[in-house]
Amino acid sequence: MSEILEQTSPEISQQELQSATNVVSLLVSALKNSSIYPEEHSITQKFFYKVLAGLQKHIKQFNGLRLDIAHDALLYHGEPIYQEMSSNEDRFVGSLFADGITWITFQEGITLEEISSFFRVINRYKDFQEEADGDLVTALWDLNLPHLYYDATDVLWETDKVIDINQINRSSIYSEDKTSDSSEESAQPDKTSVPVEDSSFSGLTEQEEQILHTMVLEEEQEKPDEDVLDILAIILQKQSDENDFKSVLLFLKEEFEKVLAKGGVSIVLDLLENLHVLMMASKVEKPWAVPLIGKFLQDISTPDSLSGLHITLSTLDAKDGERIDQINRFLSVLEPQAIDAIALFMEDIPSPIVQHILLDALKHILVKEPRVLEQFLKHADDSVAVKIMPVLEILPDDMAKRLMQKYLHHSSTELRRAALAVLLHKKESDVRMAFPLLEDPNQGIRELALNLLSRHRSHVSEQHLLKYIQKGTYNVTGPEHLVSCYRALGRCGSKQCLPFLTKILLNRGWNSFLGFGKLIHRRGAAEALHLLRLPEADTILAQAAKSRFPVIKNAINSLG
Amino acid sequence: MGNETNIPKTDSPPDIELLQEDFLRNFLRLVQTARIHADSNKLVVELANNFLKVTKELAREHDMITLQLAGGHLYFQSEKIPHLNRNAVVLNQLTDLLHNLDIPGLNFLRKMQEISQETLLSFIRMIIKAANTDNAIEFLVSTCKRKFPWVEIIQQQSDIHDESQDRRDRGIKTYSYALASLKEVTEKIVSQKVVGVRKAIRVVQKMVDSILEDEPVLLGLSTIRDYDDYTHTHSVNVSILSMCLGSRIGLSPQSLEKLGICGLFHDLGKVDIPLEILNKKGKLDYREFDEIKKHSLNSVRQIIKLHASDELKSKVLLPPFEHHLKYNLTGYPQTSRPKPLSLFGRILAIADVYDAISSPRTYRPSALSVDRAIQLMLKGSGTDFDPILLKVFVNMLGPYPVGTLVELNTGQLAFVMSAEEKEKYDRMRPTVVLLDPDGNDGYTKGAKIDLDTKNQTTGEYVYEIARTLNPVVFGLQPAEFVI
Repeated sequence: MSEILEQTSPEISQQELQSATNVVSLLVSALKNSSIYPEEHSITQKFFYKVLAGLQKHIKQFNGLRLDIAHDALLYHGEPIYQEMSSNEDRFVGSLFADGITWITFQEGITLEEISSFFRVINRYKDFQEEADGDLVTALWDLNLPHLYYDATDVLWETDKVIDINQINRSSIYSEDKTSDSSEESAQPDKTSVPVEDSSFSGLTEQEEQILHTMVLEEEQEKPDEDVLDILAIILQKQSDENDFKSVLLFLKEEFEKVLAKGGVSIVLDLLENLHVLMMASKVEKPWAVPLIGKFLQDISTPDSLSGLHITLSTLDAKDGERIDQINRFLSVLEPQAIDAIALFMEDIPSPIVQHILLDALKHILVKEPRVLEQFLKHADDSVAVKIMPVLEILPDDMAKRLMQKYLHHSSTELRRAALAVLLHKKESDVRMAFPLLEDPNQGIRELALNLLSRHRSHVSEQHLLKYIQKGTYNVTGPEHLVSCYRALGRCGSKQCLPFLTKILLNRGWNSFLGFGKLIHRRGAAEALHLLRLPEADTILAQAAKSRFPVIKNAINSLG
Repeated sequence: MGNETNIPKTDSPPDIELLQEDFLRNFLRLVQTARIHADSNKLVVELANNFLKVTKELAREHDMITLQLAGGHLYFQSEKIPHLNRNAVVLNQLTDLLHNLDIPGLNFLRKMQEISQETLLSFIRMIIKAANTDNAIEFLVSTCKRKFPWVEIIQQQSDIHDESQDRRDRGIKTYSYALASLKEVTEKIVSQKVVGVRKAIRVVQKMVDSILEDEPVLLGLSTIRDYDDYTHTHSVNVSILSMCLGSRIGLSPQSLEKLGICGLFHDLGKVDIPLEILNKKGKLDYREFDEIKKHSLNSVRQIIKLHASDELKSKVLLPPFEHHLKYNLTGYPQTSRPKPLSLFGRILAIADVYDAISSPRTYRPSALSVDRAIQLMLKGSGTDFDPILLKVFVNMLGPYPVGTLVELNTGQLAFVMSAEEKEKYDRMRPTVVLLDPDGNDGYTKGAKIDLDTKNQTTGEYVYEIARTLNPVVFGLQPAEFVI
């Protein structure tokens, strides 16, 4: 704490008094606003600037501003310039007084940051707490603001007695020992010695100075609290009291979040792995600990607890294999509740490597607990659901099918497309799910659906496409869609569709039942036959090529 | 001799205490020499020059130099001048001079640094004349007003505000508050109440301020040993010693605060140890010792439960956990954690062992004297303790730490008061306070003696330390004498 000389000048001008009063009014207004709005809010900042300007003006003109604190009043050179109402919710003078502060002085050079810090402290500690974690004095001491001085009395110890060194018991044992002739050597206190002479009393060597300097620098640096997590894990291992175990876990959660926010992924990974081991070991030794650890693991898997990972993911370098591995391992040990946080990261961080990591993490989670996905998707934004869709392929069949049905019929084109993409990505997909999409309003989706149907030779796909083409009326207009259906039939079909295709290609009267443009059907049939890759189909195509009817020949020529 | 000064020959800052001694000595010698020699005398000229030089140096730090007599003591500025062997003659003669002049003292104003040697000698002649005048004070006041406006004659003895005594009083208060705050915390833990740390933090901050302002006061108080309340006293002592060591190695005040809190709370876990074990007289069996060994972990657990910010708790957890682990990671609690001890943990371990082995305990009546404690600890350098930190620690305490009881070659007992590393002193020759027998098998505080005082005729030291003794054996509380 800095000491300054008490200002004793009894003669102050009305102008000076008014200036001090104005500054205090600004202080009071700023405090009120800073307790309503966040510190960074424009209104709060505006008031802080006003306080700064007011202080600077007064300090320049009158060489500093010292405010004496008397109960609930502020005095300037002994003159009361502000009286605080006891009903005032934003009362701070009374709080300063209660904490023992007798005066505060703002000196030349005061900055906006110092003013903000001062208000932060006031707002934090202005309300009395019975068992506080600090007060205005401790907070101001920690801040050590260079242009704000204060003095505090020992108000907290008013009822404590000052020790009388003469009255302290310096040991009854030794008083007795001095006169007794105990034969027990070990009971004899050390009575005499010779003066110490040791090289340790020489100064430090240059090398030792350097080591010491490094030690201090390291200590003063902010670093992830790896050691604290270690110790807390050890305490948990040795803890046999359930309530204390809970207290430690509660604190551990805060530390976990802090370390994660500082980028200590490997540290929190170690912790979680240790906790999993502890949970297993506790099943026999202290079964009450198992649900507590389980609850802890769930709690730290929430978006709030995992928010600190955001910065690590946002700045992740795709070449940093070790880091990526740590993150993968960390995410894989999280509880299923982590799906919410992972989804948020997926939405926020577009980096492909991060998307890949997060998708893998989701898969890990869903292998453990697939039900969380269904629950999550009920409330998820479409954009998030699109990104998550690839995980459907690892879900159990019934669940995957249920979700797939939902998304294949979703109003969002993107979701339908994403769901179809999943079906396409799977080696074995139920192609029937894609049937309704043959007439999807979106061309891209229709094509994807046809791609799915035509991925393999499939009787199911063949029959469905035959039926679809033969029905003759289509909700989708345009010749290309029909040709695409024929192509798909060619890719998935078999000999069974030969008769139909032959008729379409070669008959001149039979296919008149088909709705629009015979030429399109002939062309489609030619393409399908070509894609069937069957000798019988090739024979038909050769036959068609020799036809004397131009419409048939043209269909063949369109194959190119 | 008259031509000795402590004015540094380089640009390094002068030692104010030494300049103060020079000022007094040169002023007195100048008056004494001018009585028998003319102004042109070589010695007079040299002394006058020296006095002016010292005055100029002091004027860099002070607007006014005050020499004043109050309550039989001489004060330089507002600090009582310690009565040491080496300055006893000068102080007595200066006191006599002021008595002869019938004035309580003199204020030398800053503008004195501009005066000539002739003006100074004219002033000294006036002093000599005044000492032989009936109404000296009137003569001095009127002459100074007319001829020497750079000097003010103090006409009335004032109540001198002894700042050094203030610092001592503040130190004792701070120590008391630390004890009271710690006791409050432990009592609330025992009664399972919510425990805030506001008072503890505030008192530690006070201790940090005190250490940065005047380390010897708190260091001296750390010699307090309370047989009835070992744990609390020990914790406060460890807190002080740790912060002093931390200050020596250059930790910031904020880090010292955290370190001090670690010291204060490092044994909180002892509240969980049954009292019959904690206060057992004699050796503990294995089961009992196992209970004792749990206290490091329990301290961490208790700290976690305190109503303190998580930021603070996370910074003060580790050292209490580590304070019984040795530098080579033996000790307790043993875990599979192969990491080196933290800096705070290593500091705490040194302070803890030093205070513990030099304190009387119920279960181990073999307390060591402080110098023996250091000797023993030096054997563990590099194995039990960080060798560099231990070196800084023993240098901080000196070969004869504050509170060391010594027997002098004269047969007198004395407590070491100050063993600071002042270049002018041989660290093996600290300042001590004599113990005067009170006739009832006890002792009272006697005169202060500087052991580097030499016999002016033979050039030999007047006093030698014959041996050190354990104050505990004599039932003595060092703090009673050394503060």
